[in-house]
Amino acid sequence: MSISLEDQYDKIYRYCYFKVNSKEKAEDLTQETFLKYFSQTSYINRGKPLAYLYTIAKNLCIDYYRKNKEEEIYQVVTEHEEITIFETNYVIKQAVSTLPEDLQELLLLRFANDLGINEIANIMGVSRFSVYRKLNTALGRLKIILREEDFT
Amino acid sequence: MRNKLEKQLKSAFEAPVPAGKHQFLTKLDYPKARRIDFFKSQLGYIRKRVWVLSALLFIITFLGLYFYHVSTSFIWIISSALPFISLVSISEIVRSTSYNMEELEMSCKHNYLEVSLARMGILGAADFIVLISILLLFMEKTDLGFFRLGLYLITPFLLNCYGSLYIVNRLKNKETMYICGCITAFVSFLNALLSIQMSELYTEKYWLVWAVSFVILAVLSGRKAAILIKNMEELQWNSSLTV
Repeated sequence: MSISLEDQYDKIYRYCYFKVNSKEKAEDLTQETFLKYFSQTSYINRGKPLAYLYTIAKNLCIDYYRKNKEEEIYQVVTEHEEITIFETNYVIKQAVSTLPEDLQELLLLRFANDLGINEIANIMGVSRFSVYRKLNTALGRLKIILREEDFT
Repeated sequence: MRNKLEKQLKSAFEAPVPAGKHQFLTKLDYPKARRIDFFKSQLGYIRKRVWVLSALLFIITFLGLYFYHVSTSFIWIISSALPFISLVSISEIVRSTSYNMEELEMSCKHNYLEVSLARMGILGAADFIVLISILLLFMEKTDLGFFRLGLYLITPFLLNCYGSLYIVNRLKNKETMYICGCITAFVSFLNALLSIQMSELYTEKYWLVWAVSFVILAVLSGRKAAILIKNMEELQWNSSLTV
């Protein structure tokens, strides 16, 4: 399977932005992800390239967190500033932010990055069944938070 | 409600526009797909029936030659069956033109001409291997030489190629395949009929007729294949691409 660079750049960038909440850092991490991805080609021609790409991005984000624990606090503050920019989606963003991190990540991969259940299962290292269950849980919780009448 | 929520979720994860995307991607040195990978990918798109039918013909010939009494009559049986191999190959080419696959193929990295030529190359190579294998098997069992045997087996095959390519160049609808099938059946029947009616068909007497027919049909088939390729080149600049 081959991947579309243009398309995947945006998706990995969105994923990194979700993880680090900084435009510049997210872009740096996205570019580093692609450089690492292409630095060795033995795996990408045989394995699951998309899962591999996301795993690199995820690990880079984790490394970034470890090195920049102080910055994290600063970024949480800027997150609120970003929310005001996208005012129209404020409610849904707030609702999503109340969910646990793993469910937020799942929603991002499924609905923002349009990944299939199988691909998500590979990236997150869980079974397909678990992905389905978590998705239903996340959507169920969101519905409760947002109150059904707002979306009918 | 769920669908609306799912659509809204996409916007919940919106990120600011990346600033260095274009610059990074243009400078990024990534491994390009090799020509062999392209051929391998095309190999997967050729239907299994092509390989199954080619293998079946080869196996039947092999069994016929080694386990049963072989006479020259076996030549016409095989030469009548060979056009069906070319029919299977032609069906792959027709599939692209008849089922509106050009748009899809043209929107991809490799244009329609490259994709079609790759497939034609793979199919041609497969047909060539089957023909040569059958020829070599036959040579051991008959006293006819390699070239004479080749003429007897390949001439009906070429006649079918010419007829099918003529139709493929003229028609581009779903009935093309049925017409090609009729041509194959006609060539096969004609070959069988002539072989039965004319007992001296595979003798020295008609050797020159076979040779001339072979050359004429090879040239005509080559010309028709060239026209097919030229038509594909024109498709690259089809107005549909600019819409």
